[in-house]
Amino acid sequence: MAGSLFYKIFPVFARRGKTDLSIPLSFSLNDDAIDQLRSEVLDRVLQQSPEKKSFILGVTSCEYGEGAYQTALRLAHSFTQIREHVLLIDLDFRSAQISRAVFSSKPESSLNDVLASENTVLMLETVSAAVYSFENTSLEVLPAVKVAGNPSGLLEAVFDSALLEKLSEYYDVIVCALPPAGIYADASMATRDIDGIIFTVRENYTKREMIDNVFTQSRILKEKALGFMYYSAV
Amino acid sequence: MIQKHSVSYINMHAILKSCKRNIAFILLAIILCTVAIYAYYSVTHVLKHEYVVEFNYTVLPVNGSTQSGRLSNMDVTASQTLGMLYQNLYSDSVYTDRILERIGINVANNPNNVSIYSYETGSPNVFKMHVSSNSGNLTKMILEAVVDDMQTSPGLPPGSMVVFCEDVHEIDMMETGMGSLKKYVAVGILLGVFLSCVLLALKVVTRCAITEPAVLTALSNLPVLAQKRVPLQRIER
Repeated sequence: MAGSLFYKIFPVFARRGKTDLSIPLSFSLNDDAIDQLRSEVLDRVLQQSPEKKSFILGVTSCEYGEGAYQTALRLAHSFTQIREHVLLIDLDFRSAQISRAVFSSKPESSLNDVLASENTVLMLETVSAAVYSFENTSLEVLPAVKVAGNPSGLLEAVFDSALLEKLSEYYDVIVCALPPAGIYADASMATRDIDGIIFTVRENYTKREMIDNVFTQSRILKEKALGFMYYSAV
Repeated sequence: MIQKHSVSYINMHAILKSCKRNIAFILLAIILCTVAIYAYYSVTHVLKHEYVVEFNYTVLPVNGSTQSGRLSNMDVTASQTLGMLYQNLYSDSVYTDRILERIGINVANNPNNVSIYSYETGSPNVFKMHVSSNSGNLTKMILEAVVDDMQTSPGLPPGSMVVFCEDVHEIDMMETGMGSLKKYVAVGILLGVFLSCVLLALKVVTRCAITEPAVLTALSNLPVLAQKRVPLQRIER
């Protein structure tokens, strides 16, 4: 009782529970463009493998500032309208944009803790603690915590441990927010287990040279690329 | 299928669009540039160094006789006072060239806008010489040369009093704080505007950002799945 009163007075000290997340975007998540993106993505993924019941998508951009994490968040939310179990994973250990946007403080448990587990059994147990649900939607999120230095090893561990494969047994759609492909090679590493990658592009911001470089340097990234989400500025 | 190579990196459409987006910046740069150029020339004008020398030639004959060698070539009429004669003589460009030669400056190009002229005053026996240039040191050197020339000149008999008045008008803005400030502000604005223009040009020409979905498709052979128009500030990281 005293504790809850304390947290009411000082909400900043309140520990984020599993069901008290709220989507912190200033605009509506119900977006026609994102719904269109969802249906286009769905068409393309199902075209590639019609028998597939669950699929893993990646959202990335050439550099920061092109709206990749918002697209990932809104796309994942959009998938909740047609699929029951949707998971959004923050795989950007360099900036942890999703986690910073969704959580007001450092999450109690995160993907970093999951990867620190010694074996697969422990890993799956930790995952259940690290997955958070949103209040009004069926969307769930697996946050990451920003790591200093070069976190490529962590990302590699995600794919070496076949974590995404195991999660896809339960979730219908998994949307991964990836680090910018134009700056880091992490997105290329992630293509192994991902069925399709969506690139976000911002008009008058994204450089042509960067796009060119991304697809020239990583052939596998281009093979997995489904297309672009194009943000034109008003 | 559109080939990747068909999209040029120098896209006039992109450049024009970028210029249109930065029209306020370009206009501001033009206005600042105009102001800076105006300020620069204003300051240059202010930076002129002027000195006035007074010569008292009361001991000289006032009837226009051609006693001195230097005056021998002049056509002195009866109606012409000696003051007027001196005024004509020392306002001549030939005289300026002679003074410049005397201090070792090439007269072919007059880089510092050296100007020497004389004029009469209210007193019938006094005329003044005005020396100005863009350089303070040069003006002093010219002034000394003029005084030396006048004193050693056979046209000025011994006993003529030379009154040397320096900075009578206090126009030597170079040595005052205000003059330096104006100069540095003007030069700073000029440099700033120039650099801004260069940066803008580099940004417009070299950035070559994506300006339309068709360019994107042509570059990558990938479709634009969806398009959304959003205010710039809402596209965050």
